Amino acid sequence: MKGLHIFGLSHAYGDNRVLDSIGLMIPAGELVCLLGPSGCGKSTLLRLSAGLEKVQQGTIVIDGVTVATPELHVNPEDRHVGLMFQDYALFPHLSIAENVSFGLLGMDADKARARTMDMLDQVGMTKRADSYPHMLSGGQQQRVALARALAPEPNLLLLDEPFSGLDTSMRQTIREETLGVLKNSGVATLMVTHDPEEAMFMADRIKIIGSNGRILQAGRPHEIYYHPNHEFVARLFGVMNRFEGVVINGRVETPLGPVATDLADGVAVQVLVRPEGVILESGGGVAAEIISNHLLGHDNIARVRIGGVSGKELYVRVHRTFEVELKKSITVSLDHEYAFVFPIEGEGQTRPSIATQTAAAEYRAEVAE
Amino acid sequence: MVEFSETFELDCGELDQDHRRLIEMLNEIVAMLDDGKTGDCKSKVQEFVNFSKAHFRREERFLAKAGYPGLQEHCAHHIRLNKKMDHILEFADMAGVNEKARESLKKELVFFLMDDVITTDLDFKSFVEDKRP
Ligand SMILES: Nc1ncnc2c1ncn2[C@@H]1O[C@H](COP(=O)(O)OP(=O)(O)OP(=O)(O)O)[C@@H](O)[C@H]1O
Ligand SMILES: [Fe+2]
Ligand SMILES: [Fe+2]
Ligand SMILES: [Mg+2]
Repeated sequence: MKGLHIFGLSHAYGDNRVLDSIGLMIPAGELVCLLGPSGCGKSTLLRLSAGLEKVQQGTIVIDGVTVATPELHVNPEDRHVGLMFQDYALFPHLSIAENVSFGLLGMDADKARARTMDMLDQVGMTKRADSYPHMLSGGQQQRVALARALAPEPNLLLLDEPFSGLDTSMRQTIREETLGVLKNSGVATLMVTHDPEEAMFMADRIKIIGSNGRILQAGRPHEIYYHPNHEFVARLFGVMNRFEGVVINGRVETPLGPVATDLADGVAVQVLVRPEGVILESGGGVAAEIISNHLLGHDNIARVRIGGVSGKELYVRVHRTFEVELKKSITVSLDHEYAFVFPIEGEGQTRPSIATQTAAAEYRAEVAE
Repeated sequence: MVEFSETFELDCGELDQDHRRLIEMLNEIVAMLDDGKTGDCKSKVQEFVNFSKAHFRREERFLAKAGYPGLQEHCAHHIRLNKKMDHILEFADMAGVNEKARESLKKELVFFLMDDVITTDLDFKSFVEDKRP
């Protein structure tokens, strides 16, 4: 099958185990983003895929061809992989066109020139073909780097925080352009980013790796945001409100009312609620007082307090044009779509739900019979 | 078109056969969507979901019998996939009227089957190999 397929991949540097049983399948034309804490092994995974590092355990397959196992190592240049790494800058002594045609060495000269100009056209840099890298802005250099990576029509494109050097407004533009070029090329892409919003924007699928080097969750951006499986995944997207409690009859009590969970009764849990999950109203919920309310335009977050002077402070996303000053009373209530329940055990292994424990126990009993 | 190449194999007859069957069903669904037969695809997607669930039970039984230490974790993984299947069915519901739903349905089916189901199963491939006499 065309695309990238990795399974059973584990990696350690001496005693430092960074990747643990990683599995990944990216069909041609799809873009998968890796998100995870610093040092969890994201760049290592890209280097292993590119062939810059030898596989210790596991298998890497590109377009149906096994390129790496502990016994097999296909050289980077024979993997047909395009790279765009943080520190993988353009060659300063080559012109923009020469940079892009660098990977086309074996190609007929006319074809190579045509391909180079086509790629420069796709990233909107035709006019700068004869410039040198130092004459371009960061964003322009990034466009050229993308053209260079895609020129040889790689089977796989690996991007390691490709936009991290750009300022916010440039980043947004380049992201959009890059996505367009990638979708047009039909290449399978694995991209690492630190920025969860960037992952949401770019990815067909997001894979989250935890600090233990294991995959915590994989899914569509929508799924990762609305159905996080782990505390770590939920917290990726910014500030959260947190309540603690114990599961009783499949529910946890919070100051904003009960929240349902499938965790077993008696488990100590935390309820994490996104700011947009606390609804600010005038009447109809729990009484609250405003501590601060700053308009940011796209993302208005207010701080409120419930339960009196020594009560709990909450972050609230202010919807529409809720003008605090014009309300007689302020109340807050819960939107359950944004409330997630996790065991209090830190990142990593969640306590299995009732259903899981039952299923596994039943099978074991069956076998024992 | 998704192909079941050798690298997806667990070398475990019954389970590989299930995976192959699921890939066939996936390809049939994608072909239906591409031919604009969105009306028929809903029942095919339901069939795919039912077969996936039955397959999970077969696989869990197999792993329990083999004494696989990661059984509980793998059961938990299968349970989490139920939510994904609910979404897939929702996309299938909308496939007739919404182009975006058709796209998402195709995409999700491929990732679900090739990544969540088959690639994750390869975690126990070496365990099964070592068990073999
Ligand atoms: N060549 C090396 N030798 C020894 N240790 C290394 C080597 N390369 C990386 N490491 C270690 O392996 C771990 C994972 O590194 P890696 O660069 O893959 O992390 P990362 O997820 O990309 O982090 P970041 O988000 O900060 O870029 C880190 O603890 C790092 O210090
Ligand atoms: Fe399976
Ligand atoms: Fe499975
Ligand atoms: Mg890195």
